[in-house]
Amino acid sequence: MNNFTWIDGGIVGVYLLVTMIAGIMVRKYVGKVETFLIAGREMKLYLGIASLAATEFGIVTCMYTAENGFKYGFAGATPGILFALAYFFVGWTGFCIKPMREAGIVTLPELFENRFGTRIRRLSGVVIILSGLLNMGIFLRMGGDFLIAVTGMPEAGYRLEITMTLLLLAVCTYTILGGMLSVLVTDFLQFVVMSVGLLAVTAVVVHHAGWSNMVQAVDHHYGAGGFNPFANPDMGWSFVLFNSFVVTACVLTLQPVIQRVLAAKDVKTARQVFTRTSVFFVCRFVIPGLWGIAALSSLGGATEGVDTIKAMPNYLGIIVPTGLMGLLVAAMLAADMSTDSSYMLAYGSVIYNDILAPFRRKGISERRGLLWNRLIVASLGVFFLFYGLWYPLKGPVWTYLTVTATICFSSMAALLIACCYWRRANDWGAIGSIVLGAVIPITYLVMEQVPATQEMAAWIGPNWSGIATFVLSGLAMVIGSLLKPTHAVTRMAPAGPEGEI
Amino acid sequence: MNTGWLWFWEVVIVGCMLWYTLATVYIAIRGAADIRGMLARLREDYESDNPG
Repeated sequence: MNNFTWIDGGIVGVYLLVTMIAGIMVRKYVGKVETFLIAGREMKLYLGIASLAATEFGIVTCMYTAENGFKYGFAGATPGILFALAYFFVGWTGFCIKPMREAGIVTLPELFENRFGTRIRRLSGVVIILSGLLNMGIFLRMGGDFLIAVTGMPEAGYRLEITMTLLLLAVCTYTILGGMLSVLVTDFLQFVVMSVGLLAVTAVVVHHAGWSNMVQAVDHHYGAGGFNPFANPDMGWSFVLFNSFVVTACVLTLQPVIQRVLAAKDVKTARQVFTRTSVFFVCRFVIPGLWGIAALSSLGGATEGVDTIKAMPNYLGIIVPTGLMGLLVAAMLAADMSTDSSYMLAYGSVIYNDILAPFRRKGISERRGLLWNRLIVASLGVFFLFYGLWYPLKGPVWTYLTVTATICFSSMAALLIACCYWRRANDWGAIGSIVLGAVIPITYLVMEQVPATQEMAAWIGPNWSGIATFVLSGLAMVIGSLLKPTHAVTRMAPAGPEGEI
Repeated sequence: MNTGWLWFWEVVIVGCMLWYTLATVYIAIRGAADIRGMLARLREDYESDNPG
């Protein structure tokens, strides 16, 4: 029996109406491409914290972190700790983000052009888009699956498709009209609604399941491995090491994240946004993780054949009371809309700024530039809709996300660090890094899908495949750069002082 | 059960919930002021670019 009633529907309706109005109202200030893409670099600290937190928590985040809790117990929140450490370190030291913000760029590939040339800028743009589209392709489907499970809608008919389409239309409307400005304003509202919903539902979940029952369920199913990631047979050192690489590279190079750095008022604000949001990244894994553990404890000993990704929403659909159910759905819609809008805008900015640049006329008017950006965001929305329906997701969602993200993270992190801190770095190294960084994870994804190689893919595992990608991509940058004759490097390098852009 | 790890997760969870509750209230207040300031500056820019 599900508790979603017309009262909850009313709460969700009011939330959607307020968000849409706020998102659309600010469109009148968008007269330039720079305002559309990075809000005219006017983002201050607390708006930045709310926006970063809301962007990096979507329904897909909630689903995979809850699945981690269900499948690995408390140890499933380990990536959250790693994220917090990475954000704090990068914010505290200004590692890479300081030179990045000072360079006055709009996208990461634009920064690479200074050191590695135009060809690497285009290639980086393609890799970022390829990885981003594969990664974000499953967001809408996860959102639809969650909403259907938690509201108790029957899965028959085209309800999933209709839910996904409506969600996308709502997000596209304000993103297309107001760009980053609408995204920041709606992110703020979404952060508040999402946070109140997450905290209230967590209190109900822990009260319903009982803390000692949750601890016992984890102990019963996973033993020491449910608490200690190094003792968990499905995690271990390789999981922790691979995830350390992934989260650090994510903090440094994920376009929706660095768009907050680039939209920040100044370097100090950008760094503070990172340090002060760092604790949120533990909450991001811990809160849905607790929901997943509560779902595990509700099943008793019988977990055989349970769809681990849907265990949490099915459980919430039963235990969350009327009224709070509306807040939960509004909170999850808030989380999802803020993520979808930010990601579409971020990847749209790379397509416009880096990939389409050679095809654009010189001196394109601001009005035409805005039209291009809006068309790109709309096209991305259509792609996400069809990809989400078509792609048959296999294995845990977090694993899929880390493998697809590695296509871009490994090489982009190597390029960024080398670009900022190694004067000898050049385009030979960059090409080697990009090629290896993309080929290894794509090969692994294909091996997973082809029956003849599935066994070998399972033997290698996503963690070792990912670690190999990061190590080899970094080595390719070093070796490739050293192989290029020095006189050619001198011609390529920008005029800045050592260690600076 | 490893009580050391259980203790670790309990501290992390309680700390997170407390931080998140306080941060939500504080950011809601200060973030609203940031939005007002940002829109005011963009309005000035817009009006100077489009006089009349």
